[in-house]
Amino acid sequence: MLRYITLLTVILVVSNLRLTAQDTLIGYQSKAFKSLDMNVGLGIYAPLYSPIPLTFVYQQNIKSGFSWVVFSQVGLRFKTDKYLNMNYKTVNWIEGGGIGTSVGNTIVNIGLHAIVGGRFYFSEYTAINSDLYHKPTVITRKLMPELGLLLNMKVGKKRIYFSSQLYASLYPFKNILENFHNYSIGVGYKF
Amino acid sequence: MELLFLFHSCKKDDMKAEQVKEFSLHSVHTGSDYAIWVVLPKEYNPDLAYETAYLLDAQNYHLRYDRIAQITEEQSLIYNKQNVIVVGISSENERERDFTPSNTPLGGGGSEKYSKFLEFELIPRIESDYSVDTTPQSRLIIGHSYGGLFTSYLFIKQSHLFHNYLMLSPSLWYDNALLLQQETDFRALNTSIDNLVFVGCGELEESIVLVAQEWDYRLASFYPNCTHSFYKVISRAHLESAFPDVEKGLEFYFKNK
Repeated sequence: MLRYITLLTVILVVSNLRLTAQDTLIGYQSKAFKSLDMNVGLGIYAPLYSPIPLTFVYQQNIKSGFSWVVFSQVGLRFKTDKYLNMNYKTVNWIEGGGIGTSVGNTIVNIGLHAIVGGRFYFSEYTAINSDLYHKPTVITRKLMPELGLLLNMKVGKKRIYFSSQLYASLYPFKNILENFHNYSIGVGYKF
Repeated sequence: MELLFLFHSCKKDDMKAEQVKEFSLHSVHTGSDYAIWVVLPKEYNPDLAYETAYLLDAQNYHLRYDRIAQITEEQSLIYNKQNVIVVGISSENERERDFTPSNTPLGGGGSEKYSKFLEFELIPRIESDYSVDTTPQSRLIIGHSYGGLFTSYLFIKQSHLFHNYLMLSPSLWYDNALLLQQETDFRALNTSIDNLVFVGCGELEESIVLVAQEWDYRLASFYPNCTHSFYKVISRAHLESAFPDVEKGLEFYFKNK
């Protein structure tokens, strides 16, 4: 898994360097700045067991240094676990909006946004040795509130730039460290 | 948040230092040393015989001996029953070895030796040092995760040791659900037992839900004399369900004992 992430990072950085040959566009701090980031990453708490999240963030500045965002994240996981002796699939979908602030210049921008929204969670676990169980499958569907903090770094002067995000899920409040926090990298596009 | 912290601090202050006794116990059976914490009831009276609650992973924040003793104090008052002596056992170094029934890459298969440590070393020590009811009916065991697996092992294979069980998020999937397989072999020996059994888990730890609901089904179907309860903590996963589960389990225990 680490090999694929490293490869992805190299591809994204190289493609970003190539794209810096494009025309200079509007700065990150400008009031007219709008962007869409698309990132892929890994969970932080238990990376081997976490779904791989695909994240989309639309950002629009309100005024210099302040912006609102629309945050979407889908995490999928399909696995046969030899230790649990179970097949499982999970879908973790977060949809939220938020406001926040950012600091930076025309090349680098670091933003922090508070996210509020909802989370839909679906899972299906099936025992492989199903003869042992009177009900060999457990299906869970949950709709939950979502609260989080998004740290978003954008690097690059051109229309397409390198993007990296750290998302900390703050709900449930109890034992926050166990929530599905994740780090992801990808590319962004300036409109 | 600060108010919550203050509230929690006040609760901890309610426990007097002299209520907690700490010592280390070496086991000949496992070859390890275990830190033991004994929390006496607030109004401990050596002329009375107390019931005991043995708590596995008692060094772990989710199941810390002082937090659990606070709940037993509260629940005993709510149900107007005598409080218990809480015996917390540290599992810091040998957890995977001691709590598992077979030797696999995930565990050392030391359940049998660990049960001997409880039966021949720890329980006799507690019963000689404190004013304790020495019948199995007076003993409760509390375990979470691998600790829950071990409490299930005791129920199936060593049911003479404890009468009351809180099996929290038991890792019964361990080694191709070995204990669920063995339960059928030992069932005939145990069907007449009349234990109190609480099985708990978090709603979002589905692999555990699968085995825990199977365990509950078997308790209901094949152990007609047992009083049992199954509880899922809504929207909680493995570790975060431990404390709400133990609260619910102790409520069940004090209500039914």
